[in-house]
Amino acid sequence: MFFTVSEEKILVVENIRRAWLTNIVNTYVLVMLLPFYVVAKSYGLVGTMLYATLLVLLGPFVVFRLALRFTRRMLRDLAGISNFEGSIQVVFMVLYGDCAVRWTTIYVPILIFVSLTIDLLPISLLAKIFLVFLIFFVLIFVFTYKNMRRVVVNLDNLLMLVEKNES
Amino acid sequence: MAEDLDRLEEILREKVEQEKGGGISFPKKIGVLVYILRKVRWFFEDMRTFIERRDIAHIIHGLSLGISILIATFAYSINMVLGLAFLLFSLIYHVVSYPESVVHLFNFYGYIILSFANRGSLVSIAEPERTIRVLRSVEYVLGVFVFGLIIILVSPNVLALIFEIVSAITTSFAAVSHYYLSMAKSCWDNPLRRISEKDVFSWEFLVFLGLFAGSLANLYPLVPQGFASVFGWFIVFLSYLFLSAVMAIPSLQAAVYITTRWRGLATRKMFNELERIL
Repeated sequence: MFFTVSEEKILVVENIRRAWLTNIVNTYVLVMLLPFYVVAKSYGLVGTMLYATLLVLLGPFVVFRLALRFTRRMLRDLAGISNFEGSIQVVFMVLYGDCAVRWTTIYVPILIFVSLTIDLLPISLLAKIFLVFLIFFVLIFVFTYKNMRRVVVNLDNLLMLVEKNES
Repeated sequence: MAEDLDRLEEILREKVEQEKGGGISFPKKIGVLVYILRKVRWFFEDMRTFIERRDIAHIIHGLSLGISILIATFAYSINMVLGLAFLLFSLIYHVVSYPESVVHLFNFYGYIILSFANRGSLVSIAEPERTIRVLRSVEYVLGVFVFGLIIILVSPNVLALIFEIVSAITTSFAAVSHYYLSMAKSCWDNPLRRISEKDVFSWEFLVFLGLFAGSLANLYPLVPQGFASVFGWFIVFLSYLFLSAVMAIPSLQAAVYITTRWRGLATRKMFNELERIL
């Protein structure tokens, strides 16, 4: 039995999947990375290597299990939508999935580097906190502006395509 | 008749002349103390009218609880029992006098945080009524915990430390949620609204970013000495939370715009069909 699937449908499903994965996988991978930060300090190289080995051995199973669970949850969510065509939730996920891959997260390592550097400065704790606040405020502002610009340009192009198709 | 009226007028004039002050009564002179007390009473009446406004009642209640916890924290550093007793009294009194606080907390932790755990993002599409309801809850929670950010200036004790940690984490989540929900509400209100990168220059974004950066700066001294890399993890995690919520707003606006447009086109098609049939 053969099913005919249009390119548009594949694009819609792919973007929805990307929207889900962007949020869920990133969040849970970040949670899994937390022990690295603690183990490296407390147990040194041996502890770090041990945790890395555990991640390598068990990681694929955990990821596989999570992927199945999240896919089921995504399908359950989509199944709950009665009017699939024109549903705001579906349209949002398609657009969000398309934009998510265009964000830049380069500012995150810069923020970490800055916070570690400030920690080494021979100044009082209050001055350090003030510096952290000021630098984070400025950096997050600048990078949000740049990311937002990229996303808005991408969305404008998509909206133009939609309007062109309609006319 | 006219003579009677003239006579009556004359009698009245005589009566008035007999009165103290020629019949004219001036307001009584009041003392300074009474004047001040009256001013204070009017001020409190104005305050009561302001506080009882339905649109800000939840914020006022949240702020009052936040201030109460802050005072309890100060009291704890002087006398442990006194601080705990005041905290307990404040919490019970707050819940009894404002039962909606339980609903607000449930909305925040049950809807925002649980949704984050389930979907890895604070972003969720809800109908405008629900968006407004959750936004009110987020405003209440921000009102309670925003004071926790200034605890950093207080000498540390157990209660202050707990309040500071809970406040820093809750405020960072609440600030991001508040910005997202207020923008979502604005998108629902006006589907034709255009979101651009210039929106980051709005005071709403700046206040929310200030709260977010303030929360991060609050977490900084809480991480034990030598564990600066753990703070790095906090930055990564909260930055991702921030990015995923803020970057979702243009997509939400575009989705509202497109679906509204499609609904408009469908309605026009339906009317054209009706006209053709009739």
